[in-house]
Amino acid sequence: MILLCGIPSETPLRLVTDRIESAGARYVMLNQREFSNCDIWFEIDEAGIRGELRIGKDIYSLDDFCAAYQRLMDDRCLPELEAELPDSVLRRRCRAFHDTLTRWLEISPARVVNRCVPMGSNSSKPYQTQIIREQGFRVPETLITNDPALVREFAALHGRVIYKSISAVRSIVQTLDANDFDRLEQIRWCPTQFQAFVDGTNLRVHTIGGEVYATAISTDATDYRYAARQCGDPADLREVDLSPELAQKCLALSRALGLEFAGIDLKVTPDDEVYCFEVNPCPAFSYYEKNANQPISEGVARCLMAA
Amino acid sequence: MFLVLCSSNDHAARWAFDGLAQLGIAPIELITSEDLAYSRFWEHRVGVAPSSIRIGLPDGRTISSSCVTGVLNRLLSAPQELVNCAQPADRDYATQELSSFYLSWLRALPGTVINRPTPQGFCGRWRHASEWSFLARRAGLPAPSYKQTVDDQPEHGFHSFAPQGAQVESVIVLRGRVFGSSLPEETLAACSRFADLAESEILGIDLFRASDGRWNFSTATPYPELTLGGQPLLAHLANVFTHGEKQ
Repeated sequence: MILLCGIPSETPLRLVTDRIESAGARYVMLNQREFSNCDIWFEIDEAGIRGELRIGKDIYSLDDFCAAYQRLMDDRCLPELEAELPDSVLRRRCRAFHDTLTRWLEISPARVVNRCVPMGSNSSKPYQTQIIREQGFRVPETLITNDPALVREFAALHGRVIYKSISAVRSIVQTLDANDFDRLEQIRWCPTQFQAFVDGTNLRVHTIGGEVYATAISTDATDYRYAARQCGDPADLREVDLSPELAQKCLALSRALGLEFAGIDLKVTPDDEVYCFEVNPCPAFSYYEKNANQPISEGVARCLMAA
Repeated sequence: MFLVLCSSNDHAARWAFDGLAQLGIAPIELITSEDLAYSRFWEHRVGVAPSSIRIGLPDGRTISSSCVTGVLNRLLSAPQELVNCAQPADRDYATQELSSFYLSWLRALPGTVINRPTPQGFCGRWRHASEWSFLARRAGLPAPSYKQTVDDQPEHGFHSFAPQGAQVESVIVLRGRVFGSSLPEETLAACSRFADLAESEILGIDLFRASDGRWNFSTATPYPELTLGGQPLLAHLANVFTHGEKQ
């Protein structure tokens, strides 16, 4: 049986649920917004790991789950807690429920898409970039510094330079321009990440269960996710085939990061050099599925059902 | 160059620094988290060339990764001093940015780094009691059962398994060798397997004596009290540094 966790109406989770349902596979939906009506416990002893999950009146043995797909949002931000005081009983129960669930998922013998620990590499982009580089990908030249003189030198060497957050906090990638040079002194308080701009076509590659789905994204925007805002037109997405070598390299990268499911951001230069920028360990793939007719949700469902 | 990275109040790291220097590990530099907080400049590069870090410390020293061959890494967190410089509304973001930066530059340190940083801890991976318990069983180290329910607060998963009043012994495993206590051979072998499964070059393990006389797993840390290992631990650490990467 497959355990699906998150908010059922959230598009990626809904798509995977639909595929599993169409295939006739058995699944249980854990709607995290209904946490107050759920319960979970687990125990590790001589016999191994055992426990139970209760959703409403239904009780499931944790042993019965051979696979799990988690799309849990930060439980502290659930709408059901909006009016709750920071230390309310409901808030504490919500946290304890989610903590117990995720602790079990970390050690469960089930196939978990994805566990939290491997997702951690994405908490630091340059940390993850070092792993990506070790897997044989080209990575963009990156400088993290609090020294404005080094930034000027870097920009003089590379021409177009972008800057973005170091952490997983979402930031809109921006091109370093004349106005930014005027305020460079501000970086003295916090080292900031600068990167040589790589010209080329963006590729988003999703890897799941040994399958690879590649989408090319055409846009003039610095950050294609914000193409409409940055250059007036939304990005154009289309399905593409990767060379077998590149496909294998993407699968190997996902494995190296310990991820069952990954969204890999690549760029192919006019000289056919492939750069890897980042690996998203919890890809919201529906944007690519919808705009490039990529059957990614089927791949996720197949991976879960094969466990 | 060898580095000891630690907080200024980490007496165990200072003890290791002095001991390593006496054993001839040279040149060796002690760099505190407070030094790092007030660094004159940072230069961290990732790209085609091997990743690098250059730090201009407030006392005039410059640390360059190209000169580093070994590191005893005892850093716990990014400097709060810098975070406090941010506007209150930006402090969470500043903490995340600085933590992410530290994780990356620590990973860029070459040579033997004990322990290498992980997203779950700068000086090695901190684990939840459920994970420690799971690993202990895999390593053949007896451990009490661990149970978690929604009635338990999350802190529950970070407590020691030792019952109150139990006799507790601490050991330190460094690259497979166990220091600090003369426990039965089979317990020491299990501790070594445990550290290996935990993928930790150095790991402190607490064990307690159960009513049946067997030594049971209590808790573990990638930030052990080094002095418990005494001179034998220091000598092994010096040997590991001298002989470089994985043996």
